[in-house]
Amino acid sequence: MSHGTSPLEQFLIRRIFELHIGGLDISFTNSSLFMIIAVVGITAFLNLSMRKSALVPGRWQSMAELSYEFIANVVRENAGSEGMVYFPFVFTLFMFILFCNLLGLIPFSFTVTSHIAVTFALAAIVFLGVTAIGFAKHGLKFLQLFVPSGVPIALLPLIVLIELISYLTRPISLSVRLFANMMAGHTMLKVFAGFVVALGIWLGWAPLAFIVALTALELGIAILQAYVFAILSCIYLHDAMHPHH
Amino acid sequence: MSEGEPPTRLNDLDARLRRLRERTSEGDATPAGREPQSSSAAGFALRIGIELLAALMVGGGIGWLLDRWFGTMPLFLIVFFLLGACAGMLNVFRAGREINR
Amino acid sequence: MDANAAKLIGAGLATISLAGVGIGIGQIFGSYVSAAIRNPAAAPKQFGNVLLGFALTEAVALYALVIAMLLLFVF
Repeated sequence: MSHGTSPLEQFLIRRIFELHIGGLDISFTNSSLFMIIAVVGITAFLNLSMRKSALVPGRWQSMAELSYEFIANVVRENAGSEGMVYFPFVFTLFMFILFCNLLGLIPFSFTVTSHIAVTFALAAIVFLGVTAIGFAKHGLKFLQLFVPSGVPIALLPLIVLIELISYLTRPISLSVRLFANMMAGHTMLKVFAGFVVALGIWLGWAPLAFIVALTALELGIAILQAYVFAILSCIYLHDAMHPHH
Repeated sequence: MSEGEPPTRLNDLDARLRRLRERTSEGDATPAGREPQSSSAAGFALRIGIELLAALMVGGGIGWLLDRWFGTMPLFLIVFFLLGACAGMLNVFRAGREINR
Repeated sequence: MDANAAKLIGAGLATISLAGVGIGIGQIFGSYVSAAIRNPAAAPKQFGNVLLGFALTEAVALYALVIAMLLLFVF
C-alpha cells in the first residue's frame, strides 16, 4: 500500500492499560475493552428488557424473548430435549458472538471475533467439551461415530480414517469460518473506503454506494455467522450424544 | 355380587389413597431429585452457568500457577484452560443427568 | 522462479476454488426457489436450512482466502 493507513490496520491490538503479572502480559487491550462492552451490553439488554415481565410484551421484552426462543428452538431441534441442559452455554455463545460481530460494524470500533485467537478459543472449548461429553456418556463406544453403518469391510480402514480426519477438522472449520468472514468483510469495507478517497468527489459516489450495500450485507453476515456457530455446536453435541449412525 | 362389597372396597381404596397422598406430600420437599419446577428452574440454570465458569477459572488458575513454577510460556495456561473447559462441560452433563433421572 | 513470484502465483491459483463455491451457492438457492414454487406452504420452514447451507458453502470460499493470505504473508 502507498502512504496512509492499510486496510489491515484496524485489526491491530493496542494496549490500553499495561498489566504484567507473573511473566504474563495480560494488559487491558482494545480487544478486552470490546469484549467487556459486549458482555455489559448483553447483560443490560436482557435484564432491562425483562424488567417489566408483562404478559403482553413490549418491544424490548419481545426482542429478548425472541432471542431466547430462537436459540431454545435451535437447541431443542438439533440436540434433542436432553440437550437442553446445554442451552445456557449455547445461548451465551450465540449472544456473545452476535454482539461482538455487531459491535464491529460501528465505525472506529474493533471486531473481537476477527482474530483467530478468539474464535479458535471458542471453537476449541466447544469441540473439546463435546468430545468429553461423548466419551463420558458412551465410553469407548463413542468411537462408533467414525464407523458409519453399512460399509463393506474392505473399505472400512479408509472410511474410518476419512471420518476421523473430518472430525478433527471441525474446530478448525468452525473457528476459521467465523474469523475469515469477519476479517474479510471488514477488510473489504476499508479497501472500498480507500477507493472513495482515491477517486475524489467526482467518482467517489460509486464506491460509497457500494460500501452502503456492503455494510448491509455485513450486518446480515454478522447475524448469520453467530447463528451458524450456534447451530453447528448443537449438531456436534447431537453427534456426541448419539454417535451411532 | 352382593351390594355391600363394592362400597367397602371403595372406602378401603379411598383411605389408602388418602394415606399415600399425605405421605408423599410430606416427603415432597426433596431437592434436585425432582424435575425443576418454575421456581428452581432459574436456580438450576444458574448452577449450570456457574459450573462452566468455575471450571474454566479453576483450570486457568492451575495452568497459570504451573506456568509460574516451571517458567514456561503460556503453554500450561492454555492446556489447563482447555482441560477446565472439558471438565466444565462434563459437570454440566452430570448435572443434566441427575436432573433428568 | 524466485519465492515471491511463486507466492503470488500460488495465491492466484487459490482463487480457482471460488468457481466451485459459486456453483454450490447457486445450487442451494436455485433448489430452494424451485422447491418453494412447487410447495409454497412448506417453504418458510426450510429457510433456516437454506441459510445454514449458504454459510457452510461460503466458508469454503473463505478457506481459499485464508490459504491465499497464508501464502502471501506468512511464507
